[in-house]
Amino acid sequence: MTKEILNISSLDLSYEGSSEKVLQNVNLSLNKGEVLLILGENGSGKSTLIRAISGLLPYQKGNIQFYNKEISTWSKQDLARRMALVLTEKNISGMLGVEEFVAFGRYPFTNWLGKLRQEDLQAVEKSIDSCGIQHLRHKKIDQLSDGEKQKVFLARALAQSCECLILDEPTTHLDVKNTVSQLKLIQSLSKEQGKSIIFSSHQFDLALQVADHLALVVDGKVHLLKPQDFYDDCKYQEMLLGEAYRFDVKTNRFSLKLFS
Amino acid sequence: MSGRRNTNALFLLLLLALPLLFALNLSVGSVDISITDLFLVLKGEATKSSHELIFFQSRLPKAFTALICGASLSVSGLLMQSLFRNPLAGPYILGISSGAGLGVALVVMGATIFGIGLSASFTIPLAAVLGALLILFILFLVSLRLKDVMTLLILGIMLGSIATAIVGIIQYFTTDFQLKSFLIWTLGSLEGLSYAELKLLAAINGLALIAAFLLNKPLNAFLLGEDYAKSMGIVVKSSRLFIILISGILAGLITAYCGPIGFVGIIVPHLCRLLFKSSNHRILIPAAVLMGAELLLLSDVLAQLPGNGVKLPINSVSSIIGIPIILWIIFKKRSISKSF
Amino acid sequence: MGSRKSIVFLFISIFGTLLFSCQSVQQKSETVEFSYELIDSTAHFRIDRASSHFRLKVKNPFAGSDAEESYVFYPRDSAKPKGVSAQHFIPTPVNSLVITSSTHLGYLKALNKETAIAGAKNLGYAYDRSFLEQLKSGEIVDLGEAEFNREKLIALNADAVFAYAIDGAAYREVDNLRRLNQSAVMLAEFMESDPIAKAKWLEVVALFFGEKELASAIAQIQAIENRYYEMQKLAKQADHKPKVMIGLPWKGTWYVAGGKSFQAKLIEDANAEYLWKEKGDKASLPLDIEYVFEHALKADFWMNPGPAKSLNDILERDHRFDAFQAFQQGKVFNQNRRLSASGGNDYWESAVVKPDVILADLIAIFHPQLLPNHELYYYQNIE
Repeated sequence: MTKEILNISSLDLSYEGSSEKVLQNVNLSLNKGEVLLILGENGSGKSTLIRAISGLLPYQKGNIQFYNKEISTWSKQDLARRMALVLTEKNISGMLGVEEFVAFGRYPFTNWLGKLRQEDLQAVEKSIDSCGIQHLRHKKIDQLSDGEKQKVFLARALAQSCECLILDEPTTHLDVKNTVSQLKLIQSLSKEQGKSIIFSSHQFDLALQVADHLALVVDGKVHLLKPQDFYDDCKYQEMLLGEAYRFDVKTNRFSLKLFS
Repeated sequence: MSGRRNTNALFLLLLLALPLLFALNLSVGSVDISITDLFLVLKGEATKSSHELIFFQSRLPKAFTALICGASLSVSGLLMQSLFRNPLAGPYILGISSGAGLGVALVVMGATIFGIGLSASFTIPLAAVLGALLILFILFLVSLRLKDVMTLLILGIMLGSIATAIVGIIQYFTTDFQLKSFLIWTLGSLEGLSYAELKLLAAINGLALIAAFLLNKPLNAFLLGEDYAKSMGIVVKSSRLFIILISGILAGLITAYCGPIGFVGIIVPHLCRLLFKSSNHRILIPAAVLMGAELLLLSDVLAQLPGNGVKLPINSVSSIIGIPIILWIIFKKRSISKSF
Repeated sequence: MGSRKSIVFLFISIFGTLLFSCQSVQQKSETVEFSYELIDSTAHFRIDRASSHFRLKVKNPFAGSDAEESYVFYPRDSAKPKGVSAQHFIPTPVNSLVITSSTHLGYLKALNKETAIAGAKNLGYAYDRSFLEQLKSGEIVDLGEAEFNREKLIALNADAVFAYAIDGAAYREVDNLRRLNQSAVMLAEFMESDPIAKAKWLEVVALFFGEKELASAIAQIQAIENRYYEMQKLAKQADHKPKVMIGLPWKGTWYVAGGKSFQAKLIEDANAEYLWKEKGDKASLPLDIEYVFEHALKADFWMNPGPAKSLNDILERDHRFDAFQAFQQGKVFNQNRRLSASGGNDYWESAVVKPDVILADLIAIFHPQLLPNHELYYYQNIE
């Protein structure tokens, strides 16, 4: 039985503190265990949409239902047990160790003192394994490269043991190998562990291969498609990619047609 | 894990140092009392009755005050640094001490201007507490409507400036004598607290320190920024309020009784971070309690170094100790924001 | 919103508790077993005598305070009087005293009892040479400047401490002294605006040394009073009332004594017009320099220009001051004739018991024809 975990209807979004509308009349939904990829140009409003879905950005018009409950009515504690975030901002104060940092993901489950029980420690271990950061665990956050930080932040979100992960550009800063392993991880989290994942990326050709649904953000509107629609219809490709890239059905890959 | 072992060893060291410094502080004073005489006093067989009086009515209260004051201000400063993610923040950044100073100024210098003059001896601390509470109250009301914590910081700084400005106006209209009296208050002093006052201070600040420790999760979460903190289940608005409240209580009561004592609250959190190489508040808060108490006990001992009954104001000594340390931190790290 | 209400409630309850616990200190009522005979009183003290002891009441010891304290003085070889309550019971004569103001030194010298001084606080700027020497050599214990050196004070174990408070903060200090087992008696001579009343505190100091000393002090005061009133009568013979201005500004603002102050009274008694007698109370007031120029340009005399010892000192403060008529006519006088090498001024020490001398000085300045042979004691003509 598929369960709808996210339903957005008639949503209008503006930037924080301004009345200028970024997105209008957004409608989309996501079922449990599915992966939603958000694509769009820089500044199209992807991050704004993600923040609204995460409950970080209040909205004036429309509706965002998470597990059939309006997002702003969720208590912070309950929401934290269902939804974990990785945002583009990774500015951390202080001298935190990687392992310590990943363990912060257990906060929604621990007591006043933040004491880690067996199950917490196991979740942290599992998360470190899945993200492949065993070799980093004794380092300090400020010693990491951008790509290493990306993986560590994902590990923290994983440690939160949530059914829903929301990731804003998790593949930025990563080299090809790491991008692939990150996307493979996203795929296995959804297929093998039944997690629902929403993420945005500029690596559209790789990301499309793990997505179940696609939200294309263009000109203040969000088009909800299946990846196949994107491959088939040039109209969508043009919206996102402009003139240059097209999907070549014969070779089954995107090719750059700059110089023809 | 070696990190854990180091932390435990450091804590052990700090725990051992505390009674040693406490004892050192008790043995130093303008009247020479030898160690043997001190022991006699403790046994109840003092050779001179003045020794007993000096020990129990002057040195012991002063040492306890230094302990509570150092611990409270350090934790208060730590809370402010973490909430505002600002390495220069301290217990007084939100204008608490300026508010306290305004209360004291009104009572000390306002007598001749407004004709008010309460004559009880708890007037000064009471006025200081009320002044500090007023600032806290305004901050609270505003913070309920504010989204951004930086705006709160700026508001606090401005409130402090307003309070200071009003004090300046009051000073303008007073005589030299009263001016000096107020200036002496601003120099800060660990002396003169009665046991009743110490008990009150210990009770309230003790509870506040425990509350601060219980806030370690939101404090840690704030290191990641408010968005991540929210996503980890922290209720940002009320956490902010509690952090400000606890910090204000810790700093406010101490300032009411001892006057403003600067620098301790700013330096000690940095020292703790450097020593323990961590920003985890579960470690930092107890560390700040111990190190803060020890730093102030030491400062008090050094303040009496000139000898012959000359005693430097505690504020100046803690600044003189503190400034080189801060400079060293800055030079070593090249940029303070990195270690922070 | 829930949290807002609870916060407001929290604050109100904290405020309320604190204010509610503000009980004023009540003096215990005395059992009336003694019949008291009034010896002398001023606005701020009252000495009564019973068969076995003297009772001193000090009231309103600092600005804005309505406090009243009682002290009992009884002969050393008698038993401590029972049935009367007081802040301190002082056996007389005292052998060792701690003083905290140069006026205290002045009173004691007038009684020839300065040998009783065992310790002093905040007397680094005293005038009396032998006192300063004793302070330096340690014969008199230096108890600090701004704050009491508590340990030395305890070790000294003096019979009494002459304390004073000018405000609530200092009053807390007095409390601290009592916690250290000191008999801290509050002297409030500075609160008196009448020069004779100020001098009468000599009697309060005399109480510490016994009945005979008290009687001698009373006699001294009587003589001073007579001389003062004679001077006052003499001054009335002058044909005109010169205008007098006082002070020297600090950074453009003149802090001047108010119209009901000690200074003002002396000037009035010397039959001169204190320019700002209408303004305010006893406190000092800040006046704008324009106001001063406006009203005082034509003043006949300029008194007490701060620390100035020469007209040049005044010009250095502000070059515009040569515009004052008093300046141009050389009628500038300052009360710093008697200065010690270390900067101590006897005016702040002995003048408190010599109001008649101050008055004589002033009359000689304002109406030289009335006292042609008088040699100025405290004042000097600034040149």
